[in-house]
Amino acid sequence: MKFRVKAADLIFIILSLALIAGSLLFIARHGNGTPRAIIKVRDTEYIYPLNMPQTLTFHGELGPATVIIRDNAVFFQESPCRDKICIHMGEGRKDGDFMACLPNRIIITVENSR
Amino acid sequence: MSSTESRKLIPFLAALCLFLAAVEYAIPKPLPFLRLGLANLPIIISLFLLKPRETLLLIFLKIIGQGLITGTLFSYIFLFSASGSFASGLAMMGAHRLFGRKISAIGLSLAGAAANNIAQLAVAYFVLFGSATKYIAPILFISGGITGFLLGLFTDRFMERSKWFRSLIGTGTEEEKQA
Amino acid sequence: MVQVTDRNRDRGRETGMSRKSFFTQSINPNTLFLGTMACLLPFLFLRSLLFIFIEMLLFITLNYLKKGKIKLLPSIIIIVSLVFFNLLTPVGKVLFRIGHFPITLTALTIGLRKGLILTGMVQISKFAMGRNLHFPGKAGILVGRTFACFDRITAMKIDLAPSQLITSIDDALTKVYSTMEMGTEEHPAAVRTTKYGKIFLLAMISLCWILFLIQGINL
Repeated sequence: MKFRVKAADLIFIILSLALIAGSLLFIARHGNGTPRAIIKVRDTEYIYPLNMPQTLTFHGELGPATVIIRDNAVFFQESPCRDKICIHMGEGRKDGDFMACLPNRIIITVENSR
Repeated sequence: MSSTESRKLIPFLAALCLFLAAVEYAIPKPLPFLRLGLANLPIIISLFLLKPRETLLLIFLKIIGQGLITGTLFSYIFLFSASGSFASGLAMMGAHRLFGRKISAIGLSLAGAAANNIAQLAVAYFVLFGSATKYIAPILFISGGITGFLLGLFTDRFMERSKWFRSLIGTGTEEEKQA
Repeated sequence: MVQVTDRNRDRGRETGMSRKSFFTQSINPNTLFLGTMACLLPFLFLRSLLFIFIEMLLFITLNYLKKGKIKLLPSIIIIVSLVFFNLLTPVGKVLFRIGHFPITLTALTIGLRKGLILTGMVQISKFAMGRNLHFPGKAGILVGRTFACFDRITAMKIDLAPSQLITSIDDALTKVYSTMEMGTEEHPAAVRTTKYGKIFLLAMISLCWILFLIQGINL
């Protein structure tokens, strides 16, 4: 089969190869994904990506607690516990951050997906 | 090409697009969304036979025709295929306009395939899959690159060998394809 | 040597475009189109997954009645793949884990919703399309001519052996092209909508809108 490839054809051949390489590289670099909050309420787990702002209510041992996801961070806003230590633990943003309301049995950890 | 001739050619090529799309549908594929892009062949040919405005009309006819035949004219699927066809059509027109004689059907077909995939990935991202879309991208680009190349090759040979094509070229067009 | 044509001609029959059913005989194609489109809007704004599922089933049934057979596999593949890809981004309550990977409720719901709405949309739009749908104006003529050519090309025999492929395609194209008619095509007399046809349309539209409006009350 005769190949009659012209000059400009090469541009698009290279472009096609670049797209393949680029998309593979993109996955390699961003495969980790955005950080997400793992919220454990008694024995049930909930997962929420930190890049989707929302207000959540969870019913722990003592009562309802409000957890907020905002600006790529997660924190306790309200809690029925006595000392409110969980609220003072501040916000979690990156892999390893951690907040817990032990009396209410709600634990929040932040991790990178995958 | 006279306007009477082009008024005849445009629906004919559109019909050819639909026919090739039907043929493609009949061919079993490992993954349903990997397109062979056969329906692009008449569009590439039209770049050498018709004025740009007419090619654009052809693209619209192809899109609407496919929507009507598959019955998906009012669904997200149509959005998907329409954006792909539209993007690839525009890309091929642009590449042809930009490079003229320096580009053959191979390059045009690759340009179309790339544009098709990019557009469809964009729609998939916003409407369907969100961030999981990135995992489909490499497969699409690889298959698009291969099928685009092969289709371009086939179109090239077709234009060279087809008497029907040659008879139409001879009626005086904007660009002459070198034999 | 395989002949492409027979398969395609059969497919033309399979799509049931020329099949006679209550719908094609008692309802004018344009009316069917407009009536069905009136159902599309309330469908898109349905919130309850259950309602979406029910209405999707309704239109699948209608399409089956209209065409005599129906291909559900593509729709199933679409729904499954949408659910699969949406599950890849876990959101919401964790139902169980596959190995290390969490399967979450909200992600599942989102995927299902997208899949069911998409399938529903496709079924609605398929139901709306009938043969001899008149498109107004110049566009209509072009579309009509395109389909006329399409019918003729599909009827051609094409030799698939590689050495003969281009030649046989070429010959088929030459033949159809040179005998293309350019006159204004005659539209066969359009079906008029009967009393029962009208009742059906009314029922269908009402049902779709009722499903939509109920949600506002129930939540």
